[in-house]
Amino acid sequence: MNPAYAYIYDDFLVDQRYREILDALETRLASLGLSGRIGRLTLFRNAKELVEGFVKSGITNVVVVGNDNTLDKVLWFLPDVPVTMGYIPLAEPSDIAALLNIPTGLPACDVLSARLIETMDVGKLNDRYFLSEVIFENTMASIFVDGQYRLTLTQGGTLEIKNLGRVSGTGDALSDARDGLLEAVITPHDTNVKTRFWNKLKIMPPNETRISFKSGEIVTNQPMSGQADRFSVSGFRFNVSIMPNRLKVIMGKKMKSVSSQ
Amino acid sequence: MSLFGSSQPDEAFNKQTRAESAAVPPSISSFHTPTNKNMPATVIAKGVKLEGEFKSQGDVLIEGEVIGNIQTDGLLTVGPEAVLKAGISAGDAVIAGKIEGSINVKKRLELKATAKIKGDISCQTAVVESGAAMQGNVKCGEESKPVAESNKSVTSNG
Repeated sequence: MNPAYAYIYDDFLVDQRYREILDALETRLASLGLSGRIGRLTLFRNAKELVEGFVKSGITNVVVVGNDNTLDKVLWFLPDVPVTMGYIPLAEPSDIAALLNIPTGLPACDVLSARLIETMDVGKLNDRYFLSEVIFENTMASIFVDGQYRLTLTQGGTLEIKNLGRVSGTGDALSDARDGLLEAVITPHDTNVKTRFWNKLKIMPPNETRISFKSGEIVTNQPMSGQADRFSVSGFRFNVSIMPNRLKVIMGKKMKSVSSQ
Repeated sequence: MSLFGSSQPDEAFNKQTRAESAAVPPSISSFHTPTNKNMPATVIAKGVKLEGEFKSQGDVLIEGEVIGNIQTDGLLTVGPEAVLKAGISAGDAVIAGKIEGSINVKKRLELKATAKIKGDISCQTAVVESGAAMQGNVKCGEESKPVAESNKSVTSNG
């Protein structure tokens, strides 16, 4: 057993249909010299206490086994813990695994073995960390950016705050989680832009607002609800900021920089 | 009224515009390739209002509404549906929308036919399409300085 590694199994993995893949997974990890302690999440088991217990016993790599919802159960506190995060996706949804270039199932063990580590920024929405993005749909919210200016959706639309963002058509992350910045993407309901002028300049007609920033305050008169990664949030006011270089992640392959696309 | 007044024949003026256009490379080749590769392009789309002081080192595209000040070292592109009540400072600028406020461009300013400017302009070189309307003082030619500090040698009232 490798004393530096611990694995967090989500509670859905107790289902019999995952027995076979878990057996194969543990065999594969053992052959790679990466087998470690296993902690199982349950309804009444606090993931934070579980990880802190691992850290006290000298573990430096915590590997999340499950899906993106499992990640969500640990990401809200993991940036505050001195560990490197690994991820073995065994089920959908696994969008974040795709962003981290981690394949689903047993091939993810090889990613762990290769130990390509990136130190990533994480976003913070009020007191909660997020890795990927925050989305508020059908909102007329304003965002006051870096204490400098305010952006307001005059006709309503969608407000997204991206750290890692989503996967583009080319398989790359749409936002750079290593640039020390968040990206606000605001898409109004009415995106009907006259295209002639922009076509002449060979520029894609700007039907969404894009701003990079470090911190902001999202305010609305109507209560709004959204999602930070896969966690639901609601309220009238949210503070959002970037925490640079806060989380070490074992990646599938080196991320491409957004600016180099 | 165009920059050079009604005495400037349209054809000659258009020839000048074409010649200038040919000499200058395209402003932005695509949305994801801003001129300053270290900074992502900033976009203010239609349906979004920006209020306050906005500063950027990269390229900025505006098709929405702005009240305040815009400052960028890169290329500022103002679309035909944009409405700005703002002071502007930019490295280069292509303007097709309505602007109420002073415009300071370090290098090249291009005013499209749909541009409507109410305010003073300062730039190093200018290309003005027939139909662009201006109301204010224009200084163009030397190293650009803020309009308020410079001598206003060229005046055009639209």
